[in-house]
Amino acid sequence: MQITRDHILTWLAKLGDIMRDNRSYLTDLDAAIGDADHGINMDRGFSKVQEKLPTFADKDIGAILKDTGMLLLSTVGGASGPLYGTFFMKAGLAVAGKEALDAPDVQALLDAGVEGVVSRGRPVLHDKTMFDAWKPAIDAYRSAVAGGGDLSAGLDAAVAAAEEGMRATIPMQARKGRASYLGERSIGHQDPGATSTVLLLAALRDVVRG
Amino acid sequence: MVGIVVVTHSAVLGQGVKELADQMTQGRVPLAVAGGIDDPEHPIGTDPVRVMAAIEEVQQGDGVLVLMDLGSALMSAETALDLLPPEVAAQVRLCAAPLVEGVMAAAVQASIGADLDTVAREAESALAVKAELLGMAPPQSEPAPDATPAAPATAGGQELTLMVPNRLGLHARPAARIVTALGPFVAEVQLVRGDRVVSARSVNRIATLAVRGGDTVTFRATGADAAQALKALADLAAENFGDLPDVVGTSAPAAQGKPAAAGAPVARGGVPASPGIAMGPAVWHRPEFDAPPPSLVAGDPDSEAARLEAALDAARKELAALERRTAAMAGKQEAEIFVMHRLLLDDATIAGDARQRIAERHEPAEAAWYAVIDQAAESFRQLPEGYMRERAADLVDVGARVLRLLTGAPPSGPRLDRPSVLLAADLGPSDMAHLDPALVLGIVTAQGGATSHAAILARSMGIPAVAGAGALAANVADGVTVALDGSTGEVWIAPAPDVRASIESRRAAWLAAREAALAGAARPAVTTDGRHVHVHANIGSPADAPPALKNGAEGVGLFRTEFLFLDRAAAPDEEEQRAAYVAAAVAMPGLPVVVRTLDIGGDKPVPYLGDFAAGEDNPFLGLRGIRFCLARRELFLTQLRALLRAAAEHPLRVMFPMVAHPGELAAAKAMLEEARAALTTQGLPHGPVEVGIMVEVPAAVALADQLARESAFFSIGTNDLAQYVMAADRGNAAVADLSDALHPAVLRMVRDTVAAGNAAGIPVAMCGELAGSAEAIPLLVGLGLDELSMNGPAIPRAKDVVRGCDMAACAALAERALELPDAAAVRRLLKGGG
Repeated sequence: MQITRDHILTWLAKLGDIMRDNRSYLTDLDAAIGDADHGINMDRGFSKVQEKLPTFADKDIGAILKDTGMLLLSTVGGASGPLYGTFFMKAGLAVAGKEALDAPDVQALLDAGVEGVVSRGRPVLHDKTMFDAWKPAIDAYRSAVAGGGDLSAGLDAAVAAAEEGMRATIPMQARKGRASYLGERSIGHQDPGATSTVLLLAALRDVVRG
Repeated sequence: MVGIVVVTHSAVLGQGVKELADQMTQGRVPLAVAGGIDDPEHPIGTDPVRVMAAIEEVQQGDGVLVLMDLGSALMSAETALDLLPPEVAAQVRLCAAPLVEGVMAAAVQASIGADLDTVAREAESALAVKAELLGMAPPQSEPAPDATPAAPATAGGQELTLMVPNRLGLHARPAARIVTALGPFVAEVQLVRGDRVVSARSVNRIATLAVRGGDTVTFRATGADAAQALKALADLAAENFGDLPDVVGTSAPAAQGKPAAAGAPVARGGVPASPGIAMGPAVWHRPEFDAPPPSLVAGDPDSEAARLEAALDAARKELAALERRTAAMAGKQEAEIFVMHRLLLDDATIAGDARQRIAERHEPAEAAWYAVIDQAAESFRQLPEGYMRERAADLVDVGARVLRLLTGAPPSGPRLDRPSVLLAADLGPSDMAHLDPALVLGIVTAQGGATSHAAILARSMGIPAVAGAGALAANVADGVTVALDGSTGEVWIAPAPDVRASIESRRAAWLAAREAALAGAARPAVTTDGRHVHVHANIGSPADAPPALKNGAEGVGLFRTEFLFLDRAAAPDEEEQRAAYVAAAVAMPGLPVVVRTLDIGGDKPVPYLGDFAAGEDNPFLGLRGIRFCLARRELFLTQLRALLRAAAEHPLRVMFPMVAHPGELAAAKAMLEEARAALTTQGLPHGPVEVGIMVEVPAAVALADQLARESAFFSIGTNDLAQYVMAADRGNAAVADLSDALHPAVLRMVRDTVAAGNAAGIPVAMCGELAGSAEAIPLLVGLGLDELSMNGPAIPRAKDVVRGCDMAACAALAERALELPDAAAVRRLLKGGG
């Protein structure tokens, strides 16, 4: 089983719809603990990706991901711009030149992307950030594939772990970003960045499942 | 040069920071803003790609310092580094300094060619400096490189001790000039005031010393070129640290809070603020800035907000008028206070806070405005620094103005019905502008100092004043006799009879001396060998004419008519213009009045003229002066008709600005005749006018012989002429040195113009700023000018200088000046130094 370029293109295009549908949801989550713009920012970024996708659709997967990252950088606006932008750019570098991805390629893609997020935001677990979804997701993917699972099983495990990580952010006190200004009042709210990470991974899984 | 990038969530914020920095450095530093994101509906955010582009825009190979506001700005800046080629990224430094202070400090350092390390260090020290100024951190008298304990001059070091000559002391701009002046030198230079020592290479550090005008400070330099560095500082200090020259406030210590025993003569009452002796009944002036009654009911927030805007707008117009009036009465620099008042009106924290109170608390406009001004003035009063504390009076002054306009109350300056000594907590410049000098014998204020605007205006109006008299004045009841000596700061409350007699004789002597000076002003200015140099006034409105006459003007050499056209919604009609020209002529009975036709262009936007000539890349080389008028026939014809009709009853001369060659003069004269013919047809009375031109374009000097045949007189405009001859913008500090009317290149143009005028038998005047410079007058007399025209307050001094001139000596001086290579050499010559 492989992820093809078409899968990637479908995934990116769908993310435009998904972020639009979840615009209010993400913004409401952000309103509780941040500056109420995460949904607006993600929608703006991925709408742009959806719009520009045809202009780089004929490139290889690495280049498509890299161009996506560049677009997100210049359109998202908030901190999630550099974070997701870097994720896609580093992910693209990890699979440069490829027309299709197998299970180890996807692992390399995710690891490199998350490494980019770490280098950018310097999060640690329990800071109440998107990293609280990413980290369990890539760990789960690696375990599933190492245990003989295929790409689809790996993504299933990753999404499940990301969802769990996302829910685990609710009782956390934020230590990064605008939410950290709130101190204890950030407790009791789900992190919007972790939520958009789950949306992103779940969409990839759904596209691969077909 | 190190480049600077400002990363902000809001494009407006970034632009504002850039404006502040550009003001400090005159735009010499490559500085780019990466502010906001490309989404009109949600423009707040940061964009790494913009940051990258900004870095690329400003990098010149010496490194780039990036300053950021908060949050994602940091992440975007870091991301931008990843996007840049490694060799560029290696030269970029992200800086943790507070945004505004950091950018200011960095820009000044960068402007003098400091390296990236120094620029970054200076920016990062900005937070500590602010904390110190707010009293939240102990003054730094310790750590290098910023400060070392004050110590006697060490061997090998050199010192320069001087009194700070400029009134406002070493505020941000002079501090920036000091740092800039030290740029070329390697010496370590420190600034010492009292027991505090700071680096003289840091704007922030200099600011922490809060050095005021009149303070004595020491520059201490060590290093190979220490002597040269101190020389540069001495030169800068001699030029007032780049500020306009003015009077240094005498700094006798204020005797705040002295008890006043009624009936007892008290000497040393306060700060001498304006010389002269006065005695008379006390009248208290209490400014009408009171809280509006709580019963006041607010309309809906929109209409309250609209009322506030209307009042702010009306206040701006009043301030513009006061600015003109004060400029005529006391000089241009004194009038700048009203510019500052207008800036206070535009201050977002003041008007913005008031708007917010209206919107959120549904307060009436009066209550919102009062509360905001009251709080802001109170916080000024809490400041430790005297200069800033004195600004509280300005704030209340501007606050009272807007409050009055909101309530519709009539303007109320101090009201006196007989000659009195005016007592006040403090007087704002508006109070001063409404004073009748005939009724105000003297002024005693409880607060304020020699640098308060009330003091400065009192000096220029010739009213004796003592400031900062504290409780001494506070206990005086209306009607009690008060005497003061504004030269010593003495104040007497209900003086004993023998003291009164002594004060009266001192006042008589002072009045006699003043009378003699004023009488002198009216006498013609004739050189020792008998040449009469006419001294005329430049005026900006008819209201300027009477004070100019009092100062001894022998006519109006330049009546600028722009005031009729600016700050309004439609062009003035013919009748309004005629009335203004007649008013100026009436105020100067029997004396010549030269009216200059509209000198306007793309640099001064006038809304009702549309975007005509606006948006020119270089308005000073564009459609302005006579070019503009010839292109706007209707506008020009109206002005010419008004002039011709005013000339029916009064002797008027008309002068065309910016004439470059005879074709323009011919065209303008043809329109003048066209206007005259139309008036004749309509049967409207009109009179003869002499036609002359401003000589301010180099082409006009080259063709002066041709132009002289068609003109009744020349008047040289030195400000523009210097700019155009030297190809240097006066507003651009990097080249402002060049654009100096004393440059021999400009002086030679003056010589040639005079020669052409003499050959054709027409008089040649000068009406630029140079004409009013007492220092330059012997040179101008030597160049053969027939007339000098200047602002009213400069006239008495100018006449005195002319009276001391000897034509032969002045001609020799001019000949020497014409052979010098630059303006600095001419200045040295005028100072008698070479």
